[in-house]
Amino acid sequence: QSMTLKAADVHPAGYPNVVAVENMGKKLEAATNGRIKLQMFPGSVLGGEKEMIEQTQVGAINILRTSLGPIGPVVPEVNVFNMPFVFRDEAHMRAVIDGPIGQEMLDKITASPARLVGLGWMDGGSRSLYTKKPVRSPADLKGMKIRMMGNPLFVDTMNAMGGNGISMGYGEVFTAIQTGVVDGAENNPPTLYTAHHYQAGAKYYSQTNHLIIPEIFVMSKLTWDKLSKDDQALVKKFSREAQMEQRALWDKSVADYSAKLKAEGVEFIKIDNKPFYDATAPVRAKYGSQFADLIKRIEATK
Amino acid sequence: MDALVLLGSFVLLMAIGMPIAYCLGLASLIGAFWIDIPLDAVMIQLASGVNKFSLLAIPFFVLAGAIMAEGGMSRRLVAFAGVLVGFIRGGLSLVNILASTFFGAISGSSVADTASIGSVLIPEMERKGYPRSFATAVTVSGSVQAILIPPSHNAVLYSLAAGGSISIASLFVAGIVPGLLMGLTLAALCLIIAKRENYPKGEVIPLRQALKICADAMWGLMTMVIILGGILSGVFTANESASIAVVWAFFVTMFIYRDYRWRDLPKLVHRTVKTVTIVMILIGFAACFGYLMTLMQIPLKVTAFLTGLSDNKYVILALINVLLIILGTLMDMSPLILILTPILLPVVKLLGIDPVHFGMIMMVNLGIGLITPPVGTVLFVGSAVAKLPIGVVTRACAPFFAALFMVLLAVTYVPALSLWLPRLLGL
Amino acid sequence: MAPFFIRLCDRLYLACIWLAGTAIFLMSLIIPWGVFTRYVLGTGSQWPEPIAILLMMVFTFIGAAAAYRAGAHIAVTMLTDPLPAALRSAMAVLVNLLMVLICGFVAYYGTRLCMETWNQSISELSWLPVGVTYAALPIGGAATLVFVIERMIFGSQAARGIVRYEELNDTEKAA
Ligand code: NA
Ligand code: NA
Repeated sequence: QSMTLKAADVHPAGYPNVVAVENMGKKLEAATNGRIKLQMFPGSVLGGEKEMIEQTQVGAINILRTSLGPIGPVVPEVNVFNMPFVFRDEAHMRAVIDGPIGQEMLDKITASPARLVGLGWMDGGSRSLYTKKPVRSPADLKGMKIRMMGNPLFVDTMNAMGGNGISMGYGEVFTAIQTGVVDGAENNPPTLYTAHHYQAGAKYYSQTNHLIIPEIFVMSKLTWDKLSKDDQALVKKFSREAQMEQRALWDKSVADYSAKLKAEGVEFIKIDNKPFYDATAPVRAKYGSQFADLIKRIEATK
Repeated sequence: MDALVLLGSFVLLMAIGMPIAYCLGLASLIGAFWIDIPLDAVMIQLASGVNKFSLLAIPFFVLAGAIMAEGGMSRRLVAFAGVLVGFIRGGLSLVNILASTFFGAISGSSVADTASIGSVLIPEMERKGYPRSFATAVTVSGSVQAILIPPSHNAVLYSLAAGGSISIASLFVAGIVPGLLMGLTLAALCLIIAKRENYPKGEVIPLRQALKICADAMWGLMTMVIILGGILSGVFTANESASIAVVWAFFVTMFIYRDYRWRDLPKLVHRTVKTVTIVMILIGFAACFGYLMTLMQIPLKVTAFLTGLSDNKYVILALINVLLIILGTLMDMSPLILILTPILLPVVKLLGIDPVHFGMIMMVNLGIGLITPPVGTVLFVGSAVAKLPIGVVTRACAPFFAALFMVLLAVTYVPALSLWLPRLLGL
Repeated sequence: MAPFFIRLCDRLYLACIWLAGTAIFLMSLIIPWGVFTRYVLGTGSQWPEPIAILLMMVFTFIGAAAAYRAGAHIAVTMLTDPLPAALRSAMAVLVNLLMVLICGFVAYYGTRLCMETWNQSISELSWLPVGVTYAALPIGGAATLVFVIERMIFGSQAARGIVRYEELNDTEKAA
């Protein structure tokens, strides 16, 4: 059956995640002699993540690249990745999502009532602090208001790390840093650069790597069921390739944007994150108790 | 063909007199059906179009203005403007323009401006010897300032239609200079006409009385200080400052001015629900319409078409202005902002025009559309308040259209008018 | 005495007005409360934002139903006004039928959306189902539908005393 798959992403055109899915579409088109095409709608043009996932559920969007936030309510296990310092580093995170744990979670999403089929994972980078004053230890964070994503877990994480977690919309962060409503925020280097938050005064990038949260791409169940067995196999194969391709693009992007940030005068501060790891133990205990076994398996992953 | 189905059904539905908000919704359904998108997706857009935190500022700004207007703020602003410029020849026309400048600083609604200042000043001007048609023309054209001078819920709407990427603070600050320029241009025109027609001077108000009038008006004008000061200093976000403005306006009206009776509050509730929800639901259905336009890639096609005509940004801006003027005569401001921003913004961005600057062009242009026939809400309200036929008011407005058109040209071709102040403040 | 159905619609109209009015009243208190907790109590609260948005949904979709009955929605009448009376009323019938279509859509698909999202919770407030935040849509759609049906049977009710409440009370004051 010939069809044009609509793919959507909040990230803009040219972003590693977008490029990887676009290339997946090109491979599909070549492999099916143009029977299956892919049309990309990047940059949130079809709405925010919440609206896009709803559209994917009803089949208006066929392939969606999303953060885990909207998946959590239907498959609670993915929330384990939101835990601060659940991964030792990015390489550890990649080993987990490439391995049996990653596959199990994709299968859980597919089996859930969410009407989504888990296709694969993407590297969402690792989030570190950027602030107007340098931060090297939990004590430095004392009294600083740091914007966090709107989820009690993240706000608690920041409070445990020593600062005051403030949740606010992403679009308000620039002005909030500039005017001092918050003293900083946290994200990965590409986002820090493209959102220009360093121009608002957040010139110190303290590499806490407190959150390493992978992202995901899914297909609408309605679309999946329309595909033949062979086409489904093709989609699976190219999805895995997209997962690997995105990672290479991502590493390059982090290197490029880190260099650009340094050129703009942003100071990258290498720190020992052990004190932050210790400080957030109560957060992992509070939110992670239900995933205790899973956390053990993640820690055991080499 | 896709575009023709979507836009064509919208225009057709509008032409047979269906409320515009619902036209947008139904046209979206037709479009979705045509390109085989599940109707559930349109529903999701309708819900999420309103389910947005950044939208809260709109009902708040409108409500703050409504409370002030109901509670006799306009009377005080007129008196305050009278102290400042009433004694000049043609004074009352200047008072009218200046009162609108002040009114614009607490409300973004030209309709409320015309209704409240018009009902105070049109009879007053007539009594002092100004023709009623002239008084009405001054009132309606002066009220366009409300859209530019912060707060402006139309600026919030523009920021929203642009996908929330343009800061409301910069749009608000950007409106100050064009708004004042508009006020000055209109005032200059009034002076010229007053001199030629020998309109009367007012009296200089004694100092004691003048001070009391100023103090009285200051309570209301503080609203703008709260809004702009709050946003610029970073104490509040746009939503927060708008909500605090509501509480402040209510406090001033009920406890300081005390000329609004508690038992009149149900009137305020009725009026607010009717005036604000129609804008809100328009936003919801416009989100559906915008979604279909995106899926049909209409903005991309329009960009390709317009940039194919010329790559000179001044020519493109002229073309866009002509388009906006034509549509503005026919349609209301808010649906046009919601429908046209996603289409036109990519074009002007490609040509290197600052989105904040373009926002100001749209505000001035569509603001003029509010007072032009055949469809002009402010013109209608002005005629109703003055009890004059629309044709008579329109004729009296002719010199004012010319003045506003000059302001439009200046704002279009001198980006610094819009951008100098926000850049100065580092926004 | 107006027919029973119209009196019923009067009740529904007032319910819509007051529900929407209460919603915007609470909205204007909740957001300042958020500011207060941030500055005075030093803790950013999670709940004001999602609750204010929920109230805005109630305000918009339920209030818009009342606005429809009052004939407050912006429409272009420039092209239909010059038509002969017979043609004009034919157009009005057509518009009413189309309104039934769009309101029916909002009511039906809104219900579906609520049911589908009933088990999902929003991230800031885990006890609040997403479906609840959308409930104003089908309710508002259904209320508008009732008013459209009322208009189809009995004609526009925008001139009724209850609907013109604020204007009538203004005139009283002036007199
Ligand atoms: Na204003
Ligand atoms: Na017009």
